[in-house]
Amino acid sequence: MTLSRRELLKTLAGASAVILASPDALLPIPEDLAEAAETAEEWKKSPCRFCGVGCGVLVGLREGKVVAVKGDPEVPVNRGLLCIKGYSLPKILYGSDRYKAPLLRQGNKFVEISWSQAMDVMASKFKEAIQKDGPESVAVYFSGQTTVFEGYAVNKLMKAGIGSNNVEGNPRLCMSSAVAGFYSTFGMDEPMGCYDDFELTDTFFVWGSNFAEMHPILYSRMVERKHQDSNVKIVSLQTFLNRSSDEPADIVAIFKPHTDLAIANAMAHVIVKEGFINDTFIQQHVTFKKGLTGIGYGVEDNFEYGGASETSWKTYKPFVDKAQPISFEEYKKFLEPYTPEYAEKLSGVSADTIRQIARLLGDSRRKAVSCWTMGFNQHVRGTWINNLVYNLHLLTGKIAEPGNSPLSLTGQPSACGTTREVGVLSHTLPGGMFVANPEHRKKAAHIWNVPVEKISPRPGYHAIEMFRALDRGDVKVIWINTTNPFQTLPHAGRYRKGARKGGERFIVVSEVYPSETARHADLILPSAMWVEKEGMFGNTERRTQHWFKMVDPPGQAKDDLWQIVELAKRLELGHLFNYGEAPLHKALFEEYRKFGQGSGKDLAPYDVYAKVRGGLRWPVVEGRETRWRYREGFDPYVKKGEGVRFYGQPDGRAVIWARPYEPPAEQPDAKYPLWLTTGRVLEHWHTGTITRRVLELHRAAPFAPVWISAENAAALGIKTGDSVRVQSRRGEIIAKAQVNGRNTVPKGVVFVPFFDENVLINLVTLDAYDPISKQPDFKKCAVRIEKA
Amino acid sequence: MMVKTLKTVVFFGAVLFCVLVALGGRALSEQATPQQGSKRLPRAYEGAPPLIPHDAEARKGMCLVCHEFGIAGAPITPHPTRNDFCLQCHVGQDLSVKAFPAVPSQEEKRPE
Ligand SMILES: Nc1nc2c(c(=O)[nH]1)N[C@H]1C(S)=C(S)[C@@H](COP(=O)(O)OP(=O)(O)OC[C@H]3O[C@@H](n4cnc5c(=O)[nH]c(N)nc54)[C@H](O)[C@@H]3O)O[C@H]1N2
Ligand SMILES: Nc1nc2c(c(=O)[nH]1)N[C@H]1C(S)=C(S)[C@@H](COP(=O)(O)OP(=O)(O)OC[C@H]3O[C@@H](n4cnc5c(=O)[nH]c(N)nc54)[C@H](O)[C@@H]3O)O[C@H]1N2
Ligand code: HEC
Ligand code: HEC
Ligand code: SF4
Ligand SMILES: [Mo]
Repeated sequence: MTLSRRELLKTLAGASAVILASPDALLPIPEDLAEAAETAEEWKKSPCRFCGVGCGVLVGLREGKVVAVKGDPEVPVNRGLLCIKGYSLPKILYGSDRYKAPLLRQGNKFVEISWSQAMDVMASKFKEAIQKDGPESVAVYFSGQTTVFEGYAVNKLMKAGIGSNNVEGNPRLCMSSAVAGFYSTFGMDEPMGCYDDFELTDTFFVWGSNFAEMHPILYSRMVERKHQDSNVKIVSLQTFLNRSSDEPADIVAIFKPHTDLAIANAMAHVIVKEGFINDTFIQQHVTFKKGLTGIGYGVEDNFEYGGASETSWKTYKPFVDKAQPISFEEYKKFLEPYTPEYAEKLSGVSADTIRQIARLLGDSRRKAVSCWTMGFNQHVRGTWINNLVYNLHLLTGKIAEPGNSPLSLTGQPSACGTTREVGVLSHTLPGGMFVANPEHRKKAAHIWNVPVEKISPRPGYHAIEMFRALDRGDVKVIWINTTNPFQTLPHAGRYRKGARKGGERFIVVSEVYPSETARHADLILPSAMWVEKEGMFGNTERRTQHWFKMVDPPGQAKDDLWQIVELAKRLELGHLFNYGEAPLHKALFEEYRKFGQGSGKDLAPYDVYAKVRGGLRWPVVEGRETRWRYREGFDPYVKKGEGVRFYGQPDGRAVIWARPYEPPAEQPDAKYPLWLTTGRVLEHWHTGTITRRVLELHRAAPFAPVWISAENAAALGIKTGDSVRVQSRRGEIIAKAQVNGRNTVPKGVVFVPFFDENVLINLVTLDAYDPISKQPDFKKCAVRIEKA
Repeated sequence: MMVKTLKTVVFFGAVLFCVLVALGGRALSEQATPQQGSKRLPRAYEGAPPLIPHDAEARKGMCLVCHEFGIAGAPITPHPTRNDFCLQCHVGQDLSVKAFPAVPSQEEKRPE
């Protein structure tokens, strides 16, 4: 008998429903799961649209639909593997409630309108605001999931066309502390090493990154390495036990939130005291500096170091650190008080453990890879803690060579490729340039073929200030694209209310599925997603990957690049995107490429990325990618005989920073006695808009619980499954309690993921940020809990 | 560190319990031919990782105890070297949960 796969599964499903009538039986297999996919007719390459690991997938197509994916065995990132989110890619496009037509708010409902009406309304709102209140009254807020083409186009439209630097993206909530850390230490953004280091090292330091769940394929490369060689050691520093501290981690240290500053300095203390330093490396490649201290927390509008003079953006001065050179001796003196015993008092990690970890890092027979993600970046001293981990690698010379690498893990698939490299932020220009620098503006104006005066020298609002300005009424029109800020901004209650205060405010949201942000919109534009459009992403290890459009978006949905160009046309700025006969994507990329050429950010031609599975790691010089930057023999920018050169800095030397421990913005007290820390789970992507619509993922993690320690739960009479209220000075949510499970939080800490729109934990979080990077700290605030 | 040891002990206990339940609660024929009367769930498409038809969290770290050689009627894993990270591909399912969104319409997301 020959059955199609579908028939076979239907039969099986039916059969098991009958036979499984035993008491311990699960529910019968529901029809919705029994729906089997047809086999693919054709396979095409693409990166996964989820995390910053950047796995390569082969997309299986049949009759104009995506029906399957498999891990691309040719792509070195994942070599044929994927995590469950990657395997779920075929279903993300086909949720039952995709937006299929533009929607305009009319009072309390949305009505369908045509695309030409929609774009006309949007353009007229932009024009009105610009005419009346100037270009600074309009803003765009994009994403690290935005493609390189889209990011480049919207940056050009705003900065070279409209003349406003109010261009931000969610990587401000995610990677800006990492970026500020790279600039202050190395003078240039992005990691020097790459994933190859995972197979070449023998010691891993995981600094408060739950990458077993958030960067799964990279985590599995670490575990495989450990399985191959029992000499490999894994140190996992966390604020709660999670899958990244499970087997096979060798040393697990649970520290009190924010005290990583003290631990890192204590490790440097041990490294210096016990003679683990690499003198030659320090003499040749390092300088020492200190900066401003007591720099504040950014909780007030128009926050300024030393206090705002006036609450007006016009007088606002962005924070600038004042670096002062110090000697190695002075640095040693600075480290003096950071004994492991002092760090133990602050962090709760024993002095012995701190010594043990420091010695592992110091041991000259061992190599060292450090990884971190939001534990470091979402930190009111995020720039500092990034600096401090580089200090450890610089003191020991374990950097920029195979197996020795501090590797800042990027969250989103193109926070690097788009937001950071294309400079889609309020203070940057493409190719690692800044709006405040006259030379940089000149170069940008030349490539963009606009008068240099068009590009404003003033940085625009950073993300938090942008939404504060919308609340105040200083920003009138905002376009939110590929991000869901009314679920993901800290202290979201204020910004959600601010958005609907009325007046001249007009909020445009480009979306694929109904989201919390779409609910707050005046105009919703239905977008194409992932392989419904052509795109390019850049991952953590400087790898740029391209994919072609493979299927049509549903209904009238249109891709975001088309929307940008249509807006430009209606603002009489269509010439910015007029490349004659040349295909638009290729023309945009070839123009963008000019920004990086010769500056250490060289990219290959468009046609190369279109072809090469897995793409290439920049700088790509004479067709060759770069695996280790700053090292002779690997990096074409380091000349023969130089050995190592941190060429981002004028003197070619990286900086070891004396950065002290300073307390967080808010700490538990008598009234709000618990730490709230927030984050993610494996199965869901951020606000769950996409992943919750995949039945298998939704059933694996149907709701966001609040993880609570057994001790705190017992004291409050709470059991797993009970409803509890989590309350801060800003707001509250109700969620189900969870004691243990995949995470185990220590006494005094609760953990809540932010994927669930019914558990809007950002109503509770605090909008304090690192004054240097302007990245908010979602990882700490004070709450109280009660049975609801 | 203490917590970790404790966790491992709890795991072992849980697995032992599961093995006993699995061995005790089922007909012998069922163990030999797990396809019949199997709880195994349909895959999303050919090549997708199978979903876990039993509690996943409680058996974490112990997967290969059953799946390396097929103890207690467990299907033998085709890739036994992927130890310690099974759960990044295979996930458990609460089959009582309905598709999201419950009401498949944009009306549900009414404007603020
Ligand atoms: N499944 C899944 N994967 C994802 C994403 C997703 O939504 N879902 N999102 C992607 C994105 S954009 C990002 S940014 C990453 C986030 O990746 P992660 O940062 O790994 O994940 P989070 O859950 O945000 O944060 C949890 C971690 O923060 C640490 N932490 C908490 N407080 C502190 C502290 O004070 N100091 C230190 N050092 N650590 C602390 C905890 O120990 C824990 O490891 O994940 C990416 N990958
Ligand atoms: N409490 C708490 N809050 C956090 C964090 C935390 O750790 N804790 N982490 C922060 C971090 S690191 C990050 S990166 C942010 C992420 O926060 P967001 O970017 O706000 O979250 P996403 O859910 O990724 O939002 C992307 C939206 O774009 C839509 N979309 C998908 N593809 C497309 C497309 O092609 N075009 C268009 N137009 N739309 C599309 C999706 O449906 C989704 O609604 O959250 C931040 N917020
Ligand atoms: C106590 C024994 C035992 C342990 C431990 C165990 N399993 Fe299983 N598993 C089984 C049995 C038995 C089945 C088959 C159920 C059936 O056919 O009804 C199964 C089925 C599965 C399947 C479905 C296979 C398919 O083709 O549909 C997957 C996937 C799976 N288990 C993964 C895991 C993972 C991951 C772990 C660790 C977290 C684990 N199992 C731990 C006994 C076990
Ligand atoms: C990187 C992803 C990944 C990891 C990690 C992984 N698996 Fe799998 N597993 C798969 C895929 C994909 C299949 C389906 C293979 C196929 O269809 O040929 C599969 C199949 C299986 C099956 C089904 C065998 C059958 O005959 O039905 C079992 C059981 C299983 N895996 C158990 C495990 C266990 C136990 C672990 C950890 C030790 C594990 N898997 C780790 C992806 C993974
Ligand atoms: S690890 Fe990240 S990039 Fe790779 S498949 Fe999973 S979500 Fe996609
Ligand atoms: Mo992120």
